[in-house]
Amino acid sequence: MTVKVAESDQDIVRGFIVMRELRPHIATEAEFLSRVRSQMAQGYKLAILEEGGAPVACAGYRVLEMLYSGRMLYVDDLVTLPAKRSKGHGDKLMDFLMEQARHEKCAELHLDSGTQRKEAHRFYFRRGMLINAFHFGQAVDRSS
Amino acid sequence: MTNVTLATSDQDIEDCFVVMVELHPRLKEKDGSKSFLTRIQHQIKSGYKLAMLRENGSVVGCVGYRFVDMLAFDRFCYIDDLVTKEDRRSGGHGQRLFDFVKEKAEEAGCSYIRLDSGVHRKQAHKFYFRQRMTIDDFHFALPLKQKSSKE
Repeated sequence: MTVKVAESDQDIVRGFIVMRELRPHIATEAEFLSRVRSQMAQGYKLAILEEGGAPVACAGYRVLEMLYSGRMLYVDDLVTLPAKRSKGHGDKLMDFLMEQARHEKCAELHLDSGTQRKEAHRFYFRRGMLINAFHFGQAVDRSS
Repeated sequence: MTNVTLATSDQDIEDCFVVMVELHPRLKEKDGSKSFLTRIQHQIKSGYKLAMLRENGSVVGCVGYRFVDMLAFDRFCYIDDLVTKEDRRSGGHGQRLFDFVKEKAEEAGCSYIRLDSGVHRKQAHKFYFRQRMTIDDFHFALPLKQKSSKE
């Protein structure tokens, strides 16, 4: 099992089959590639975990600096293929992310998890994370 | 009627310190207003914006925000910080700051406004619910121990 940070277009596209489980609104490989590329320009990175030459899990992350946290590693996306869950792939990626965070001199690792994702919450609690804030959202009405 | 304006000069940014420190008390520990300035300037380089509300010359509220693209959402506006000076609350300042960001978000073509509010900030939650926001996610955090050379 190896974790690789995607660099080439070919690397990025390999993550699509996994990422679409978490982000089903991204319809095509081409759209995925263009979104990832434009996010990379803002500091986003995509890590892919492969097993037997096939991607089974992936994580998107970035370093952010905020007044409330200082320098932190923010995990945008973390997902394992449904058929490959409960085999430690999520743990392996989490270990990788923590390593990256330390390497980037981040004091904390942060992420948001949808209120309905109860299994994910269990996983994050098991990894020693705590809920320190509620994430509020609101759609902006641009019709007016 | 006081207006919300972007903090552009060093003086503007330093004037926001007394208000921002109420939201982030940790800023006081190692930062005076000078190192606060350095930190804000650093954040501005990565897209952060700071806006403030002055009343009779003094800053009574401020808001920090940025525009972000993620796979989960189309472009959105993330509010890092939103605070009104404690002795100036309930005067509609928070509302004006929020409306200012909303307008900027619309101009920038954002589909959402998003923010994190600490679990203990119950009055803030009430304010955000009044803005018709909903709690969509739990925000998880993990403090990291830097590995010592012995490990």
